[in-house]
Amino acid sequence: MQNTLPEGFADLEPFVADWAIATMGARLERRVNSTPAERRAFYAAAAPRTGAALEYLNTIPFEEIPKKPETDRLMKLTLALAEIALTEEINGQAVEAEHARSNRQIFVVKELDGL
Amino acid sequence: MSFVTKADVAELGTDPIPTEPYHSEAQFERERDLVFRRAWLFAGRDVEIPNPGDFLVKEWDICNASILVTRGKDNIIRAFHNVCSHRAAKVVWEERGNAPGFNCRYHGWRYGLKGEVLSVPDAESFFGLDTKNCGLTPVAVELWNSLIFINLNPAPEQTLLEFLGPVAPKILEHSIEGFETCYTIGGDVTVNWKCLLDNFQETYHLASVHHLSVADRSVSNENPRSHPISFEFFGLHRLMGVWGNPHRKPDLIEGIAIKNGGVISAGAIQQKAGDALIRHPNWQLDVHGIFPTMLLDIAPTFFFIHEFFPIAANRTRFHSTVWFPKAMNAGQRFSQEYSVAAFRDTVAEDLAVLRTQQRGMLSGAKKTFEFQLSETMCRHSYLTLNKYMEQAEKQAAE
Repeated sequence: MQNTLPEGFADLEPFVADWAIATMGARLERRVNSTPAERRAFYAAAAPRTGAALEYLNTIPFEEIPKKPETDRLMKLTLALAEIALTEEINGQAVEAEHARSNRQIFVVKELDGL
Repeated sequence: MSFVTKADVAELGTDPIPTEPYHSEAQFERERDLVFRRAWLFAGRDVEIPNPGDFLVKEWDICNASILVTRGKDNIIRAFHNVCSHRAAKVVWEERGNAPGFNCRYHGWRYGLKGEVLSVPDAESFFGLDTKNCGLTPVAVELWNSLIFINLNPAPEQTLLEFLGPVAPKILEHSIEGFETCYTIGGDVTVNWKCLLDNFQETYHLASVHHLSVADRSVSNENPRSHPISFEFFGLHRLMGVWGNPHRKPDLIEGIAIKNGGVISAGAIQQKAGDALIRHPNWQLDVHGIFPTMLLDIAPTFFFIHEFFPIAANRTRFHSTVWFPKAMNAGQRFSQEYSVAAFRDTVAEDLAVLRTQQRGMLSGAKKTFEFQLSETMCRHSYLTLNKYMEQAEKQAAE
């Protein structure tokens, strides 16, 4: 598998295709349409690495992060993990299924430009 | 540590509340004429339209009003009915943007940022059209503390500051300067605007509806029933101080989000942002209810604004906007994303129940309900709404 993330984060490469998502609206949509198994797998791999990912990204000037594809990808992966942390740490699968119904109603009206 | 007592709110009475106003068409009509055509209505923050040519549009369905708010080349903020002077078509179809002028799609009339007519195609074929005096109809607009308000009354009964009264200096005890980044979530729900409003201004439901998400930020041995810390009333407006649990142990990712910046509902984990006002040790946020439909919730490191737009007696569009300082690094950006997603989850929990509540009232099964101490903001809203409408009816009779 090609490494499209910064060095040291190759273990997260399997999740890039599904979870390195550009916008908050699209991340919500992915969450709502994901399966419990997908969420569990993503959280299991990415949650223990989030601290390290942010520590690494914090060394880069914020406006530079989107300019390099690999750092942009890692940033977006952590943002998707922020969503999935809620399903795995707070909600649980039964509640998440019910949330998905309401979350389909709640649309992102305006979100931050850029990242 | 003290919490609200019944004595604090004795002045509001303890009567049961009729359900009828929360679902009837008759009430909706009264509100349209006696509230929404008279009161100052929140229309966004000046930081949403920072540059000349920036504009935004607010839709007030209950009054069939589409309101265009612009920042002119002179930096002045103006508001207009988004209605073409020619034959009343909608001029601006976008919700926000930047433009030197606005073209009506119907016959191509063009307007500037001051609402003035810039050009009329085939103007010679009109019979004495005075293009200097047929600009967009202006709407009263005032700016206070970065908050823009409009008034659909061509001659507002009060200035904005008169309308806000003593809640204005109270809000100014906080600083909302420097909060320039926002995320807005919204929806169109089959719920009366007052039921939505009431949900976001009471703490009684936190332990149950939000038992997974928010409850242990709001409940502990010290405050087992998630009572508010304080209520204050300011004429039409109201304020509730909300308590946060200092003993909450965050989960892994939540802890990382907290470490990197303020997180909504973080209990007593208070990260000061500069000189942010902290009212007392376990204060979480202040909920300011600005009559009729606005909630301005201010915490140390963020604030959010709920807007409720009545569409019908049993339908409302809501926009909830969370404001942060600009993220300076990846960690802060992550924390903001987490906060907004967590906030959205609590709203999802509320909506699931609120829809059933609306239907329950429509069934006619219950003619009245009871508000308890933690629901005092809801009682205050009910009473002030009635008073405001009765005042207008009395004025009309005189």
